Amino acid sequence: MNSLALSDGVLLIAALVIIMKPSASTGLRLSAAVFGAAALLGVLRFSTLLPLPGMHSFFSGLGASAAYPLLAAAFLWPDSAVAQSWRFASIFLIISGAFGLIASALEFSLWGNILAMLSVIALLLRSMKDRDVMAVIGSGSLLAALLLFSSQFSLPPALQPGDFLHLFMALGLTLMATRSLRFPQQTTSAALTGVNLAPMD
Amino acid sequence: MPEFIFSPTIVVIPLLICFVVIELGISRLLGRSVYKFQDSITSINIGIMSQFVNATGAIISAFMYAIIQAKYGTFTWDLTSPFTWVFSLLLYDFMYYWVHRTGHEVNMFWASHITHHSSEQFNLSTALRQASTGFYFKWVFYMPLAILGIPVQVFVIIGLIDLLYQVWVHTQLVGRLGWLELFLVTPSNHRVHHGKNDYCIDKNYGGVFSVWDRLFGTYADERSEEPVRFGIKTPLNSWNPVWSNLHYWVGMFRKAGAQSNWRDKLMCFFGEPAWVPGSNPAEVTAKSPLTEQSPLTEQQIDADSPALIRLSGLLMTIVSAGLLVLYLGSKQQLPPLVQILVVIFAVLVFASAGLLWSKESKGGAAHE
Repeated sequence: MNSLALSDGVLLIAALVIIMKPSASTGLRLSAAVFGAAALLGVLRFSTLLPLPGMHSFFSGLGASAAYPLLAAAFLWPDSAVAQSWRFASIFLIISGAFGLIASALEFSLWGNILAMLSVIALLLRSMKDRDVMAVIGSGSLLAALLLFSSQFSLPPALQPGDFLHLFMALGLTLMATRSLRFPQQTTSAALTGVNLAPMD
Repeated sequence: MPEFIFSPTIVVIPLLICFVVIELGISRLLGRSVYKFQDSITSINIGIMSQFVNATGAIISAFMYAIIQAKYGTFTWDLTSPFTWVFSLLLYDFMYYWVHRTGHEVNMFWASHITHHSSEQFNLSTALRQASTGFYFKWVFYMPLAILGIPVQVFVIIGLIDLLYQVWVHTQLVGRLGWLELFLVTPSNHRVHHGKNDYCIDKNYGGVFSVWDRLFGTYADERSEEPVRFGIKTPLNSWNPVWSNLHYWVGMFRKAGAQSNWRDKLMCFFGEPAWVPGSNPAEVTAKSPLTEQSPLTEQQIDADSPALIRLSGLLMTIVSAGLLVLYLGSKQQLPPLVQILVVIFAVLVFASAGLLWSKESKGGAAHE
């Protein structure tokens, strides 16, 4: 058992909490499911219980190129069909995942990183505009996760770069999910017809 | 002169056309009218054109599969083990169910798949009526097989088996098949899939196994009291192979262009085919009713086309099938640019022939 398995475990728990939270938007829950799948595979890999590195890399890549943009879309447009409906969130995930696979096939490895970074920056700007302190801290944590990981920051021997990614992501996702507690989700019907019953600001 | 190389596809094409001829003969012997000349010729021409396009387009699918499998493939599979093949077939067919369901329930994917459903007839030639534009999205659904590490050759062979199985279910000459109906796709339950009766809409998506439909609530049995009417709710009414591939795309872009906001524009592409602007996507349950007026009456569509048109259609089919076999046999030795030029040329020939047939058969009326 190493620190990566433990920190992936923390991320897995955070993802499970969000997935099981009925008040969280569908888009948020689906993106948490992808992050959760990657975290579960990470726990299995780094604990050496069942190392499936290929599958872990795939879900990590899917998280970067599809789940981050889905999270951002669900947050930026909370009334949209992508945020509210499983069908449209899945379509979004599949299409953005397909572009991620094409980028991966073409060896354009920066694609996922760029999309993840842009998504998190968009989340941060929107949170600041909304003056939502929790969301600012949450999106700031997500940004810190990406920056620390890409700079390969570590605190040997305790924490590796991947640990910072996992732990800050867990914190960030949890804080982002609390938004739905403070701004309850509209009914699906109202959201899809565009009738705004609960203003965000 | 490029050397001719045999491949399974080259054998399959003439074989399928032979099956069509055999079914036609049997139906005549039984006194059943299941073929309309121009419709069947159109179906075969659409199939031939799709093979020209997909012979190049399918490379994308195999290319993506091979790369993803090499990059992320998790397990090693024993090609001599029956488990590998049975598991792969089951997983492939499960993914096929979702590809097919998406092809019906998401408008921009339906725009491709509608070609296959555009025949008002249902016979083996309908099986050949395949879209030329579907290759761009289908590959992504099969990526779970690649991630599991299932080898490319297994993927290709299983894909071919799954596809070929689906040919024989396009017939009206076989009735219900008893207990096989419980878990297999059969002519009976596939007739329902091709129906435009209300109870047939968005039903029976399975490729080989119907268990997926039963699991996900999309199964419907054929009703003896309500004969299936085949085709799409707004008939294609064209014998043009190119138009049959493009007509829905054109309509979809026009509809999107007419919308005033981005949400509705996007819904034109990603909503259900029955979605209408301003409606709640969650409440759309059935495809649009049979209210749109078609430019031709059913009598006009059913009427025999002039002898010269029929002869030209038949000749076109024979010549293009021969050219397709030659092309498939030699394309690996052709530079990619030449391959693309051949495909463009083939599409243009089909487009011009289709325009000619449409004008001649409709007294000069444009099908649009």
